[in-house]
Amino acid sequence: MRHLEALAIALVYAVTISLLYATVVRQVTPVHQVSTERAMAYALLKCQTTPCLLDTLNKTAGISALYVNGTPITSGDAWVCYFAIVYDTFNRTVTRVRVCAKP
Amino acid sequence: MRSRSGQFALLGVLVLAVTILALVAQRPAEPAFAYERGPMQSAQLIHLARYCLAVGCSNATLASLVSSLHAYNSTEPLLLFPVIQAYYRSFTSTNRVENYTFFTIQTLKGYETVALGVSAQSGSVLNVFAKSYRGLTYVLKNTTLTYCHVYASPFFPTTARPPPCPLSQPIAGLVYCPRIQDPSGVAEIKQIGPCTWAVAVPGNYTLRDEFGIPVKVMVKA
Repeated sequence: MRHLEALAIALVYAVTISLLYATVVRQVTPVHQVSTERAMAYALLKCQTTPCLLDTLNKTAGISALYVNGTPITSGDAWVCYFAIVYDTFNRTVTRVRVCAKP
Repeated sequence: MRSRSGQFALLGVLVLAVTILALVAQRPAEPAFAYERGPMQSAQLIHLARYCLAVGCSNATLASLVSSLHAYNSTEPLLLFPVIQAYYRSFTSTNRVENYTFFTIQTLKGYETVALGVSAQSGSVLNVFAKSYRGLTYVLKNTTLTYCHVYASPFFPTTARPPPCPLSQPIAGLVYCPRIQDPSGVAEIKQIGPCTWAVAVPGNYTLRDEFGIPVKVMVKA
């Protein structure tokens, strides 16, 4: 009988914890930085020089920080960052661009 | 009686535990970030492929460029899909030059292909005329040129009604008509339609597109 009670109590605990965990997961707001990622994709397809890429990215809303070769061009909260390499065909240079966004 | 009090104590512990858990569940949650992967990584490969074509592509050059990307990917949030294979192909006929770069990437769905196709097809000579430029006289041949890029990726949409883009390889994706220029200024270029230009060039000639990729105009006699 005691084993049965212990099992019942354990079951109650398990169900309660599962429900609360599910509640917590539901409360977490997923922030997909799709706009920033897509903006970077568009800029990479459109441009083959760093000035062109930066100009295109600067027109994108939601970007909080921009770094070129590690140097901040615009600095702000860096929540989610994406990184791209710009291969400049005209100057034969390789530039590292990091773009960050906040939710 | 002792057993009853024990049951009450257990019930109390249960209620307390549930209450604490419920309170914890009510706390404001921090946002969880999910990195989007796909379009940017494909665009990065296309961008790299265009550079390869601009500087004179070969399989070795392409492999070296992909290797450099992998090096950056290990330290920076490039989030690149593993590139399993990368190769370059070129096809030349009497009036058409095609350049391709293919990347086999490993996504969650398995092996998929990202490809860049660049095609330049010249028409027949329509007329010939003389042009003086910087003290020199050139005999220019008027012809039409169809020039286009195709960017293929599982993460890119396919152009619904693509402009004419003669490709011998079956790749479909975004069709783009880049601007064309002549750095030396000798040739005359005028866009007459989507991906179609009227060009006047002194024989077989190389123009450049807006990304620095050579555009070969093959003039038929």
